[in-house]
Amino acid sequence: MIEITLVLVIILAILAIQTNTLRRAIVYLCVFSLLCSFCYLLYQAPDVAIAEAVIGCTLATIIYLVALNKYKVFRVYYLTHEKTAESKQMRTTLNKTLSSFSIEKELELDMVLSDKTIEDITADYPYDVIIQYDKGQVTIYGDQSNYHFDDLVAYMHDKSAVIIQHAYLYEDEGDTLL
Amino acid sequence: MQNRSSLLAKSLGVLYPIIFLFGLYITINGHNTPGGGFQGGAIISSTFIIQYIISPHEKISLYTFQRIEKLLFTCILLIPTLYVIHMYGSNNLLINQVYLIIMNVLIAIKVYCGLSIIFFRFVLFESR
Repeated sequence: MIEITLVLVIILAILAIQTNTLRRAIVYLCVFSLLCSFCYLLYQAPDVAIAEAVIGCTLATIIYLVALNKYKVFRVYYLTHEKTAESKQMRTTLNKTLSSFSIEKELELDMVLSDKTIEDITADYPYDVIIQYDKGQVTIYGDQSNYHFDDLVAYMHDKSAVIIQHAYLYEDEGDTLL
Repeated sequence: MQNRSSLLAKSLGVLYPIIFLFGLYITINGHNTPGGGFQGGAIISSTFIIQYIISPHEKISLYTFQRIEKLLFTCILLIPTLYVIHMYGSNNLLINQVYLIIMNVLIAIKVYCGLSIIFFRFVLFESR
């Protein structure tokens, strides 16, 4: 039993290092510390096992996830009502630019397509940047507290061929968790 | 800002007292079953996180937590000193047990306050 658990611990440690997405690495680390806690139990140390399970598996994972949510996920909402070929082409171009931007800044791009209005998105959804495509016109909306927004606007003016307008949204900053 | 899942809130609301009782059990029985002050305090502090997920807009006084933690720190320093001066060498089992339980409970509350402060500062103040 102990041999199987130790082999699994090594496999999960390698997976946590080798995986591409940070969120997955955090989940692997959580399972890793759960297995470590099981190992302690098999070595007749139940009190250490309890401490490892509570701190390594619960508190550390939650704090890592909050940190990732605050700094690393770059959530872009793409709003459009049109379904023409031109709109699709524009979407692919913007997607490419955003991907290269997020790779340069070491962010994790999360692009959401939606047909809601800007008011709905700002009221109910966690967003970093909102892009609206309307009648051939592309506009980027962002928060002033978001320190990636100015970089993104400058990057798009430099690297992208599309003509883009930008505007700031004013809103008090909410706290998001999970 | 974000709408929360009512399923999550209700199931965590049911689990909340159970986790709290489990932490209390581990703390109080620390002298004869596995566990103790630190582990019990850490489990109790996970109920703080649950409370935050259920009702995030509730006001939490960071200042009170810090005062309680400082007070308990002086208690944790004072009680063993007094114990060593007055009771050292006594074989009275009851007094020893009471001493261990008191120390475990004090350490549990201190760990609860400390981890809650860490979580609170991290989630609410360290914004992007």
